[in-house]
Amino acid sequence: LALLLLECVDYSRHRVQNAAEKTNGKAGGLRLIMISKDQLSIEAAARGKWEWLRQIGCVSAEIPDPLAEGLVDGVPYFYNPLGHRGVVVLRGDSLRLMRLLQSGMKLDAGAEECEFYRENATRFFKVLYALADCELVQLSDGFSKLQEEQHRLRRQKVETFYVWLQLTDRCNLACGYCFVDKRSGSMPIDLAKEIVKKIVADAGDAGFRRVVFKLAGGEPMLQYRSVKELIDWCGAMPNPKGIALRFALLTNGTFMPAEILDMVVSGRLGISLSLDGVGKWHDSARRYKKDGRGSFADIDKTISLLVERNVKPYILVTVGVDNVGGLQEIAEYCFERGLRFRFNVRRLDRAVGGGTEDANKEIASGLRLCYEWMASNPPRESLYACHKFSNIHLLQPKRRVCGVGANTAMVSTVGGVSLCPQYDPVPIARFDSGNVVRMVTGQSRFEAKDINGAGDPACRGCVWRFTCGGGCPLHAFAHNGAGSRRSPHCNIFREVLPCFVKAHAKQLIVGK
Amino acid sequence: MEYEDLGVICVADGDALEVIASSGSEDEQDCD
Repeated sequence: LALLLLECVDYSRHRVQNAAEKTNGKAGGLRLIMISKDQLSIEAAARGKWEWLRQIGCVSAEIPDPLAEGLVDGVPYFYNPLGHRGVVVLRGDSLRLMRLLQSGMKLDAGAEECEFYRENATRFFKVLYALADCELVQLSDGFSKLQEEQHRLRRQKVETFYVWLQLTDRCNLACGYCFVDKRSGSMPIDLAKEIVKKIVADAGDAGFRRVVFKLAGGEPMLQYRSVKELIDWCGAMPNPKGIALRFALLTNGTFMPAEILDMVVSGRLGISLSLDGVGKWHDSARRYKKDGRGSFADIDKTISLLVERNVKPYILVTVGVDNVGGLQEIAEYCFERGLRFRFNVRRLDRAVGGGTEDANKEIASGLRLCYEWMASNPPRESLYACHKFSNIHLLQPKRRVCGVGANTAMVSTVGGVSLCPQYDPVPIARFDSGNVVRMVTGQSRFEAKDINGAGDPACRGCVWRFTCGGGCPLHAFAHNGAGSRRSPHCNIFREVLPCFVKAHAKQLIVGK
Repeated sequence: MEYEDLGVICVADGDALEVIASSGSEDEQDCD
């Protein structure tokens, strides 16, 4: 354990001076002691520091911009898109102080002029601290710096590199919206081993400590013997830097060989499963190639098999005009089984009547109805944990949507490395030509500054710009010639996100 | 929730951290 002393001595100088004068020189800013590098320790150390506010006596308190606000069952809720506490419901004294601050009350000259303060100074500062801790109020510069440090530590997860390993381009389904070119073949097992070994070494050299391989296709279960052999082989693979490895299967779930089921049950293989709805809603798009039969019944059996063995597959729901009417049913299906799931709006949807403005309106309307239903029928588990819209969970600002060009690569069946399986499958290199992980992280085609709609004036004033993260940058690139332009799904985000936030607020109120 | 007595209701910080920590796992697959 490292003993770290973090002295926040650079609070706004005059405020520290004022505070020192008011407290006979005893308050010189906030001193935090971290007893380990554990990211939680700094947060624990920061808790209960409302006394510090009272010592300081005067602070600047500003309402953040942007800040979304709404009412659910007559109760106000707030959501700071740049915050880290998600949706916050306020009642009683907290709402009273929030309204005072929203009306322009200033604390710069001291809190003594506030009636609430005069009634109960201790409670006043406790509430002020709570609002600041939930990031509904921005306090003085120093406090903001403390919060920034907390969030930097929160983000400091194990550095992970994600690899989409295209085990095969073949598939037993023929989904109208699929982006994979089915004409190609499969990845030989020896090539798969070489790729894994090389990328793990490259990732280690590039400073990553963990690599997640997403075993994908096509349908990777058509290569299930390779899946098993690859994972078994990796257990004994030379790994001098001790890079942690994890494997995740992205499957259509139409069949589950016993040896793969065992791997999933043992935890050696994670599983995500594509399910676009219940019954006809799923079958409308996801049919067998050989006879056109819908695949829901078989996938339902696979899910039952997994659930019986205490495995909860992650459900990926791809939303288009043909299944948007069934979202409530699939949400209910997942809630009942305790399955975590997400809704992704299709991007290459023109083949099945999507992608138009009318289609987007229909999709937005269906999503909105589903979130209204969720608000009235919240799951047993926290909605934050069990569901995402796109990859949005409201607990972190999104400055970029995914790891494209940063910590994600796709490797084709013949060993070509590219940035994204869907939008940019043209290889930038072969896996064995230099350090391909560095090539991905060092590429300049998609820089972070180009992401998040930063280049579109329509995004700059939007309250949701740090929630949607600008949508898929490559989707925007494909439509507008620049990843920085607003997402082609912008109107969907704008219509649906308020309902998505409200569903979270409702769950807080009913206490589930 | 630590601030409920003050009228503040939000997700517990530990639960929020858990959601953030699980982001980026296989469930982060973001392609159609």
